[in-house]
Amino acid sequence: MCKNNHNKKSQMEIVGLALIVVLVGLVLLFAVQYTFKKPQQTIQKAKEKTTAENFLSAMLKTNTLCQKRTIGELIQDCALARMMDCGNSQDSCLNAKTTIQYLLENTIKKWNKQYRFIIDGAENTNSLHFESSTTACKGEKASATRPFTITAGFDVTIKLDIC
Amino acid sequence: MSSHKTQTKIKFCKKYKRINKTIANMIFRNTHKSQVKMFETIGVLIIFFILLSIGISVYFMLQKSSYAKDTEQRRQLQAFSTVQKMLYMPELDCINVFGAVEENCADKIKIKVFNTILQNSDTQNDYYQTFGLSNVTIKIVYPTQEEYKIYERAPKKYVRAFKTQSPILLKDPKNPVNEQHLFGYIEITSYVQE
Repeated sequence: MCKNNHNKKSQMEIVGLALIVVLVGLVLLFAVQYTFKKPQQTIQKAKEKTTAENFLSAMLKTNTLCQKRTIGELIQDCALARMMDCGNSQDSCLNAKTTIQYLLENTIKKWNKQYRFIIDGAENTNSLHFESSTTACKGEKASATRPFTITAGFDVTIKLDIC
Repeated sequence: MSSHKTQTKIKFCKKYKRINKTIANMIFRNTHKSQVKMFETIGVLIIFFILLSIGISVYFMLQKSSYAKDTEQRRQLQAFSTVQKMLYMPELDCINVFGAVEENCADKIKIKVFNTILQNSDTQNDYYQTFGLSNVTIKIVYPTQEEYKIYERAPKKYVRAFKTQSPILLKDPKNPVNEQHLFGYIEITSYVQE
């Protein structure tokens, strides 16, 4: 009779301990979920992607000081013959380079965002490559890619990463 | 005879005293044990309630910060959708010679007119539904640097303010034959209130 009672008491204690362990586990899970929960980045990503797309579409149509040509026209000339004379011994490539860099620095960089701008598909446009820093956009990023026709059958891809 | 009686009485008294002492001892020991148990239970209860109150306060603190984050995210989303709406507002959009709306473009003349119209507080109230409590500015970056404050309605008290920007093309139709396109951006400052 006495032994039975003792067993019952031990069992009750074990159940109590198990309950405490379960409760502590639940609290820990809850805390971990709140501590390591990544902030919702969907809105941020969508914003950055739209910003990059708007940047490219606005940039290509912007008139420069080089014969009032658009940046798109400067890129076309730069990728082909480099015939345009922009004054101050600047050709289309150099003028496009300084203008695009100015735009990037006065918008995306000013908004404290990292960027990477590349034009792929033409050898002459290799100089039109900009990065806010050497390690910029190696990880997560929002990209906008825009195919751009130089002449019939000759396309380049303009890519802007924002991160 | 009487001495025998007295002796028996004394014996009985002694025995009675001894029994009484034992009972008293037993009662005292039991009471003491019960008191210890009671204190133990009270202690456990106190610790349990302390832990419970800590848990509840941590939970509400986390809930509060999560609510603040949600509010901020909602405001950011609202600001972002306002920027997108602005790009296609008839009050600002660019129309080309064929009458089609140009993508991601605002007309500089329309901006100036819109800016003047919104100086009127009644008109500004009409646009409250669209812009809410925010400041809307259009800034030209290239080739010149200009700034147009379109709408200004900042709350007197706010917890946080954040900016949402989007690049935009600005048409300068001074000369319709030789239109110039400028580069700029729309900036919306949104406010999170208490």
